[in-house]
Amino acid sequence: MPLISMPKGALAMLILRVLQGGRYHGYAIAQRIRHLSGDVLDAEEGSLYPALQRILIEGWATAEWGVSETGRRVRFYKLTSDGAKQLKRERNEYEQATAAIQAILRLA
Amino acid sequence: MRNARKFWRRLRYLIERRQLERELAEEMDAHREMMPADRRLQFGNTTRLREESREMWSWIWLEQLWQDLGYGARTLRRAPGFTAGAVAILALGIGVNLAEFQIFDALLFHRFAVAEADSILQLSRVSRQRSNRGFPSGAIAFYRNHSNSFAWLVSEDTTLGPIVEGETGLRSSLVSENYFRSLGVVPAWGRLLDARDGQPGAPLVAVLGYEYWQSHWGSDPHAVGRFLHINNQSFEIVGVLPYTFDGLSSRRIAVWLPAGVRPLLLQGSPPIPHDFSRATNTLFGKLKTGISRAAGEAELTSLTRALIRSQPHSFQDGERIQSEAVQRAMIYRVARSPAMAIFIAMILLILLSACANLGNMLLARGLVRQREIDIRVAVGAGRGRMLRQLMTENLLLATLGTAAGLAFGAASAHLLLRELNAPLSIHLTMSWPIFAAGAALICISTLAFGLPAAWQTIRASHRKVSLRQNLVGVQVAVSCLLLISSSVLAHKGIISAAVNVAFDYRNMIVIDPQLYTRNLPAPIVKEKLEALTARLKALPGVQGVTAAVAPPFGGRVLLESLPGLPRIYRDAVAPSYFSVMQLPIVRGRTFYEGERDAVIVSESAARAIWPDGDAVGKIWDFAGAARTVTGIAKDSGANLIGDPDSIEAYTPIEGSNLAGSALIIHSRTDPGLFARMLPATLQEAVSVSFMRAFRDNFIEGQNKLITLIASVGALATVLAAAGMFALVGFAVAQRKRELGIRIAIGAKRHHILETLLLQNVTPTIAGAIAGVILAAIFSRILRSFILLPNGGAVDVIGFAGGLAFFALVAALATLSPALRALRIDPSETLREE
Repeated sequence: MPLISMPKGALAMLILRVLQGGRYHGYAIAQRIRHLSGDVLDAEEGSLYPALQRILIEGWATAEWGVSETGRRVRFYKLTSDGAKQLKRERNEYEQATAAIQAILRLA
Repeated sequence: MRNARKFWRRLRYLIERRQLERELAEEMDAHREMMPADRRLQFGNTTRLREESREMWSWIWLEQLWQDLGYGARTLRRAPGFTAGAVAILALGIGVNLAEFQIFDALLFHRFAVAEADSILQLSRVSRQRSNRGFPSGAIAFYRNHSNSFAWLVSEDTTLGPIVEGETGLRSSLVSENYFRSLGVVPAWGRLLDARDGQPGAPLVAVLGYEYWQSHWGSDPHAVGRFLHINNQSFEIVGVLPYTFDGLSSRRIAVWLPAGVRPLLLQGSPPIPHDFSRATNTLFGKLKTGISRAAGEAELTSLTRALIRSQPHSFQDGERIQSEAVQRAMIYRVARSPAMAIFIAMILLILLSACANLGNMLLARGLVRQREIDIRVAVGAGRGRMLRQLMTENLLLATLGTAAGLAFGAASAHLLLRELNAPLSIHLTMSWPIFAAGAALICISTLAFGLPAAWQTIRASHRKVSLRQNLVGVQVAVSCLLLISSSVLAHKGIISAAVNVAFDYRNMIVIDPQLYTRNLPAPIVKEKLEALTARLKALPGVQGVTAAVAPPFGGRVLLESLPGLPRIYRDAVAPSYFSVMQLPIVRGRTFYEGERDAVIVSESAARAIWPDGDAVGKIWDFAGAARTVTGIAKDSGANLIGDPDSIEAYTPIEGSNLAGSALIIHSRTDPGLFARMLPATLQEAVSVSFMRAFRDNFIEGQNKLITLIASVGALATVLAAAGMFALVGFAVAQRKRELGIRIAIGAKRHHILETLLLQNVTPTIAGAIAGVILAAIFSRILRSFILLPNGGAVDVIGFAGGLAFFALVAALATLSPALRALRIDPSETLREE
């Protein structure tokens, strides 16, 4: 599934979902997203970074520099309580919307 | 709360952006390097991704604003002619507004150069019938002795017009001895009046007003210590006031005297604590801290009740005291005056005209820049973004214009005050309200001239011409209105300057003993007037002395209006009036001594009231009585100067009018020389004036008003002419190719001219109609305080004059660029790309 057809904000939701599992740096987040959702990031892996900047500005995650498993200087992202709330809210909305769409599709 | 945290995060991103950008780049580089080599291309365009990330920080608009400002500045620098023109136009439009703000600011908020001017109250006497600002001296002494709620109470009396060093027409102010100390006024030289000058038997002292000291004493500091002769008494000059202060009543005061000298200037006045004869003092006070205005008013009202019992002649039952902040009262008076409203509207119209003009220039420029804008839209600039960019450029232009306008405004405000001969105590300052006003004007004008033009430029639509025509229409309307108004006023000016005054006003002196202020019984008034008349008649060089309640050119008029008739200027006069004034009675006779219920009408009045038939002997219900017309006098012309359609009628001086009489002296010699002899004769005269001075001042004041409005009108006309010139000029430039082809295939000259000029015709006519309608409304308002010729709604000559002048300017402005079009060389234009 190419990124273009993903709903707006879906990438941010995916990132938040990944961060729910712990503290990750950018490359690790990208890998986990690919692992979770196949080829969402295939088209342009770097589009992760505008989404991460937005998450930082909104205060859904915090970042701090650290050293990766391979000994590189990288930035680790960690979910905040605001971020957890946001993920929950988005998930609910998404599920409601999907349920509604499925109901319509069944009727049709 | 969350939003606040978000804001701070954003602010941190703005401040530390360099560092954060570096960090982002490092992070992204690390990511790319960690990716397997075969997939690295799939990371995407790093630069664009960084840009997108930065956009998330959402200070992008600030960066763009900065970019736009830089771009705008470069664009404006590359078009110096356009920029200079636009800034000049804006400087005119904004400058006149700022000048006006500055003058208002000086007049209203910085009028009184005394400490805590806001808290000074003026006190007045209010009863069910009337309100009165005058207090007798005795009452002031009483309030000061018994009041506990005021920190101080001071009084000034500016009603005396004494003869100072043989000169009349100067104003004096008699002030309570605590006046200057309470107000905290510091002398320019010497000392001011204080408690020692209020002691009984104190030497006679005077303080000079700054302007009088400057004009009559040559700014000589050694004036202090010299002697000054006022009404034949010698006063030692002890000091000079600073130029920032000329009293709370805002009149030009030449000399300041202690209130205690009144009995010397006005014979028969009792000493102050017992003087209830003249209610001519104004009373000001400042409350002690913590005391409310209502409490202060209540205290003075209860003191007034005691005065009502002890001085029933001076105070009436039910009077109470009301207070009003001096400063606020002034703002209220100015804000209420229709003249101010008109003046403000006119000045704003200039700004409107300037904005319309600039809008036009910007549209034309948008045409020139169409290519640039098309390219920018083609490479992906959004409409909103383009609009913002153009508006930023306009804002830059408006800011430059305002800066120039501040300088121009300050210069013209100074010039205006000098032209109007304003008192020195009105001093202009550059204060923050002026800058705030400037900023507001920037915003208003940017929106007014910039937005429609920018919008049209971006839409690149072909409706441009119609917008430009509308803008020209606005300018035409504004300049027509202003030109017509100045022409109407000029017409009136010409009429009044040409009025023939039938009597020898140049050699007449008016002496007003102001007996009406003194509560004297009628027989004593009569006696005093007769004695004064006899003394004056005995002076050498006197041709005649008579009495009138409203002497011509004296500023006092008795207006009567009767249905179906022009305004009637009534005067109550002594029987000798017509012979002394040398105003012939053409039919009938003058009054007999003591005659009642009689009236003499002027020739024009007789024609207006009894158009077919002899007026003499008719009974006329006029001025509160059925009166017999005893005679017809020649028109004096005195009232025609101010009111060209008026008529006149004279009644005898009856009963209560007697105390209001002033004496008119016809002098054989120059009245200036004659006045020097007066003091010895006139201990009682409190106001002496020359008729010629009043008339000259009136004409001069009127000329100033005409000059003012005419120069505002001229300014608007220059703007409108420039607008029309540009409209046709750009049409020629834009359609050069088309016109070249048409000329090549044999179009007639008049066809070409028609194409070009027709586009100006509709807006000009529409604008002119709007201008005429506005001018008619304007002159109706004007009529309520300046009297205009021709009783009708519209002064035809004035209107026609204004329109004709505008038509001439419009023709010149449009014809010259259009004629240039005729010289287009077809072969050249067709070769051009």
